[in-house]
Amino acid sequence: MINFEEEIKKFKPCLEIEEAEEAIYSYETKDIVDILAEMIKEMNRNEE
Amino acid sequence: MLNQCPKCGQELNEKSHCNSCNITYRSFRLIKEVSKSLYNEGLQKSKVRDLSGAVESLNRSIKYDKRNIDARNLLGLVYFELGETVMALRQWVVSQNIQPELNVASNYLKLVQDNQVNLDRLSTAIKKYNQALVYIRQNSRDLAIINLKKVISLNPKFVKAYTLLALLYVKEEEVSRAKNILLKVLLIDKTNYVAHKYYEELFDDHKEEAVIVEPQEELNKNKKKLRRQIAINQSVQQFAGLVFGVAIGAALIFFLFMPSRVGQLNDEIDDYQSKLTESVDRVDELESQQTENESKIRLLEVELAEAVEKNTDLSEKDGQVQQLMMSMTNYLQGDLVGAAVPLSAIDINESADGVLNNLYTQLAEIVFPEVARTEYNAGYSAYNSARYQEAIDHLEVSVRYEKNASYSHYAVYYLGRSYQFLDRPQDAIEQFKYLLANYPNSNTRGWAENQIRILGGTVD
Repeated sequence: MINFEEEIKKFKPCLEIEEAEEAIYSYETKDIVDILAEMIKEMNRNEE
Repeated sequence: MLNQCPKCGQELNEKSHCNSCNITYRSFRLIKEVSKSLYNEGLQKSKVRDLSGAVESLNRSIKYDKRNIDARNLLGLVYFELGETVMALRQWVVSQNIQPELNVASNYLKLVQDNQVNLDRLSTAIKKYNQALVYIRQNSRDLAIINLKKVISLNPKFVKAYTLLALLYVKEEEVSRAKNILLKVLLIDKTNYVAHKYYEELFDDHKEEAVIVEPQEELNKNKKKLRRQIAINQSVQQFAGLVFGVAIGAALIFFLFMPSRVGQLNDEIDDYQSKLTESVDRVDELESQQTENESKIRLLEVELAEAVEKNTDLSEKDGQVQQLMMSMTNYLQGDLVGAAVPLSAIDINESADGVLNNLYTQLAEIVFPEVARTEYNAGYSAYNSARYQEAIDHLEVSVRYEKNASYSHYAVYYLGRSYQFLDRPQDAIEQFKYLLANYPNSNTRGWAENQIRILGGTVD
């Protein structure tokens, strides 16, 4: 049986087109290479 | 083997290692390969309309390699196909920033941004979807359903709007409508998790109603039957081929034509029902307002009678009193515009009488906003149905009587657009300029400026 109240909570408002600019600037574009590079730098710092 | 780091461009050392990124070229190449492989997976899924699956694969692909332009552009396309306009724009803008030259994302962005009318439609669809969510929180499911139908008419691929509408139909126990809506979702996105979940639960709960069979399953069954017949003998094979052809033709007509026709009829019925619901709601609302305001008017009548009795100077103000009485009488008869016209003819500054002023103000507070709102709704509805002269007639009244309501700037904007559609550019420009001058916070300012430029005017 579908639980309406529970299901409705899963629907969130969509970003409006006027908010697109902000959404683009706040978008996280890190990929796995960036994360690996950061991890390696961190490890090197710890070793020093 | 490359001698430059594909990530930062610095020279690699003798072990093909980038000292800046601290990653060997081999690791980098492996990561790129995974990203490409996920892109291929996403592409395959997109081709068979497994759009949810494609979104997942492509998002993973760009997590491995953010510079995988193909994956990012395809992800934008898939989002656009799912009605997620802003998500699509975001991917294309990022893609264009990463690779400004020879990038198809620029074409996609140009196509979307150059078509202002379509962009307005998509924007309105998103706003109405969000408004529907607000209505649901306020327990106004009927209004939410009306809004969502409008959303779907504005953006027929807005999957989230379809699933939300299906959920509302389930709540309203309109199971067959919910199923039809869910089937539409599955036509856009075959593997949409939410639609599958709702559909399966409805199927379990209403087995007796579940007469819709997946077209693909039906075709598969026919094929299996045919294979068995072929095995019997060659002559039967030819006959079976004929039967199969007819069966496929019939199945195609049934599954392709009939559902669309049935869907079309259902949509028409939905439309009529929503219009009926809207009208009934409106009548109820007006009746309750009428009752509430009748008591106020009676009070005003008593005050007016007292004023007539007390004021010896009223003979000079007979005209104003008559206008006021006419306005009240029309209001009580439900003729709002008839009430507003004599009321607006009263020049309240000329009246030094405090009681008359008070009566005028109280009546104006009731009548003008109500007329303006009703006229705006009628005007907007006419505008949406391309009945522009009718829209002008209503919106002019709305603009005349109310300038500070939440919708006033929209009334001015749609009035301008209606003039524009009827080839009255000067009147249109006048309205758009009025909007720019008087509504500094309106979200229609950008549109108004665009329209002024399109009409050959200049924005100050």
